[in-house]
Amino acid sequence: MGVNERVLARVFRYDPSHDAAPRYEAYEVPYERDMRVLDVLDAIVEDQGVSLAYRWFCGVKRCGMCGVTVNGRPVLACWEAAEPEMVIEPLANFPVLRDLVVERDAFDRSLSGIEPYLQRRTAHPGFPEPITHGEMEGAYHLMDCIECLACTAACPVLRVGWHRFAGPAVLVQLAKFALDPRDGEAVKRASLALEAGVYDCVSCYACSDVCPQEISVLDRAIEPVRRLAFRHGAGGTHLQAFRESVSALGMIDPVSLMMKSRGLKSLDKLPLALKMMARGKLSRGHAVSQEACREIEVIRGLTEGVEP
Amino acid sequence: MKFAYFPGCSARSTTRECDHATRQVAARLGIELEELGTAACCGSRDLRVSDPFFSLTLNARTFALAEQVADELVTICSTCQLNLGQDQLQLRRRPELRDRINHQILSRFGLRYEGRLRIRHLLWLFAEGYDWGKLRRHIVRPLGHLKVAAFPCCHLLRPRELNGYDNPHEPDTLDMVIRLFGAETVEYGGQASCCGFHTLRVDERPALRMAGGILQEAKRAGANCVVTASPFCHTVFDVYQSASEDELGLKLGIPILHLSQLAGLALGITADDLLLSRHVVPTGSVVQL
Repeated sequence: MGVNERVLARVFRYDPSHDAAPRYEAYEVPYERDMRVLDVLDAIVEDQGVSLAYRWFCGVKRCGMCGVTVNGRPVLACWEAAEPEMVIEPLANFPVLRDLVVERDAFDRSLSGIEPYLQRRTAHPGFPEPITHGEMEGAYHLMDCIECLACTAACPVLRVGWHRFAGPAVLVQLAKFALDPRDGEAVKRASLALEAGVYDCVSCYACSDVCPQEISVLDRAIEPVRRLAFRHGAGGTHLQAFRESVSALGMIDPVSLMMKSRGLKSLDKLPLALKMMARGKLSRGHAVSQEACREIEVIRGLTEGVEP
Repeated sequence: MKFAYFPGCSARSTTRECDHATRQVAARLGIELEELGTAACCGSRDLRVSDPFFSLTLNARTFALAEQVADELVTICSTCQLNLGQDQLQLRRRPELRDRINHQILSRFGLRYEGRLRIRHLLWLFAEGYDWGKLRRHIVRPLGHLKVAAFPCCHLLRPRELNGYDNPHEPDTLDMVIRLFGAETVEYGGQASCCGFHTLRVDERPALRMAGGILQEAKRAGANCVVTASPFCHTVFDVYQSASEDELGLKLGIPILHLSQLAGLALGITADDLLLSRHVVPTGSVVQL
């Protein structure tokens, strides 16, 4: 965009104490060089005298307070370049307090629930405590999180109202402590992960994609925490069933996988199974050859307990 | 054009029609596919969590098997594409890990992964690896009557480092390929969403809501079928469609086709040969339209 052009912003307006329903209002703002979404919001309030509610504090991608949705994507207002035409809305998956300001209470409550501090039974003898970069690698990356909640706003599981899943932002915080070599409460972290619904994530990478801090939320937080939960026996029957199928057949047998994953609950799938059977969909796939299966078994033995 | 071919577990069992249609389409177009019959499961999102080194090594073995056959591997499942792509990237970034797997494990079976393999989903092969002029000459059945909602699947769109084709928020590669085969595509809101497959074995309800919501948007946009690039999305949309209807309290009844089946129809392959009868939601309306 160039100077002398105008930014057209359609902004979500809603005051639940007065308004029956949300509405969108259009504002035109003169474009300025290097203009950010936050500058557009400032201009609407300061130059046009509009009483628009939005939240920000630092303006430099540190405080994580200015998350909004721009043209359908959760972004930080302070870090996102203004576009010629923008629809600006509050972050999705949160109740709206007013206009662009959302209520963060649910996140704060979940956050206190995961006990967000290092826990150890005994102090490290002596000082300093030597820790290598390798040991800190898992947790270190997650310390970049500024809790802006863009990941949680992007999550499709929460979008359909499935609140057994605490959302990606909470799991990033849980992972930050669970993956810290100084934390001594792995078993507790595992059960906290289960409570936070760590297996309810659909692995869609929406969270990783929108993180302004470029944290690979799924690869570096959710899946490592899921691994921790699985290894400490906190849920994960379906993961065990999958591993057994691959070890035995080299591939997945969908029927036995579903039955072993869901146990007795599978019985409610009987009508569906019959429907699938009628269409020939329940045929067990051609497994890999016996010889290949033996190779896979040897590989399983050689890789057991080894970290990549 | 010869490729190593990795259909994946789903297309070898529940969605066998996807594999079947792919083979027929490839034969018509002169694409030679050699299936890696002894390759193991890609691990989906499960094995890489429960047993990461086992999963990585199995995929390294698959790469080694593929390199014996061709320079390029074709997948038809987006989750296979994602997992194989991620493990290939990891082995490229950590050559010492690749050496370790080669020397300590694969060498026992006379295998070695050199690292020259290219891995592409069938969709991407159509998008840039095949001569479009030649492809158009093979199209014998106009599909202009079909209004398709294209559903590419998250795992072909994200993470961005593995997707060189689409803006994950506004994907259009699958739309383009569908139009290439002569059908129309509709714009709808659910295209970049997730079908929810990966929670099906844990909690079914979020998946049913997510899938149902997408299908509802597709219908609203006037689509008379949905075309998927992955057997997993197909399974949620097709097999679980009536469960989605129950969960959301609405009627959907929209047929779901695999990309290879749509391509097959355009190339003049019969509905029977494309195993369209193997779907749970009837596909007759698509063929008769």
